[in-house]
Amino acid sequence: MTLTEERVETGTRSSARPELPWRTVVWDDPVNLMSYVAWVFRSYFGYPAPVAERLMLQVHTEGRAIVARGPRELMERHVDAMHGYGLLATVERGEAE
Amino acid sequence: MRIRRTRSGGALIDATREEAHVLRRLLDDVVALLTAPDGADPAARRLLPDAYADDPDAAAEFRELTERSVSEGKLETVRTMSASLAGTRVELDRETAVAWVRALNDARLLVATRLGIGLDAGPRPSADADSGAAGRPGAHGAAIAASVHDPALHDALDLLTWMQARMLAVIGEDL
Repeated sequence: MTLTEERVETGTRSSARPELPWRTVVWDDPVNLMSYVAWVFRSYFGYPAPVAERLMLQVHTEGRAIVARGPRELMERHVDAMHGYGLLATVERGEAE
Repeated sequence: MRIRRTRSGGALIDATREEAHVLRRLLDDVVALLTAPDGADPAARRLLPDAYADDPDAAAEFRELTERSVSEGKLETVRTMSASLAGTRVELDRETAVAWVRALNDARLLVATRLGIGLDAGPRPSADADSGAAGRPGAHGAAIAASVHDPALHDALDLLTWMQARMLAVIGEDL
């Protein structure tokens, strides 16, 4: 039994695609100041100012931006933190690219 | 109101009695909202939004797990600002100044929502992801269109916006 299970598990692992990373998406809203959004990206994620600025502008012009990728639990922590700052953010499953 | 940077990287605030009074009242409103969040209230939905856009079950489950801690974090920030808002001249250390920046944001979100601003903001169904953002007048506070006429509330939003922008200019450069 044990042997069979191990084989099944091994087979599953080798045939499965690696888990696609999840994403933290920040959405545009007309209230949050641009300077505040960029400051949040710097303060919380520790992004250098140019990166934070680019992401903030992407949120502003495209309506949303992916600000982090990784395991689901980590993305959920990020989204919680963004909500704490007052940004609109959601967790999203990454698609194959 | 006047906001200056202190040598230690904090902020020195000079407010009128009226401004301090308005701020305290707004912070009380945020506390009231967060203490008993009502899911039917757009302002509560804005301060405590869904974490999943296309999956109501996941959003509800996640809300169950984390809403309390998110609102408690906000409450602590707002109470930090309230506690330091004694009198009309206050000197804030850096950490307290950061709390002000965050609390001011929640107060702005609350007031803006009451004015009908940004009610349609946030995730849209992925189907219209292409058409959604570009045509909307998202202006990040620059030219926001309010649907509710309430001069006092507009004045409050102007004060909060000016303060937050000024605080960011004062403390935002170094993290």
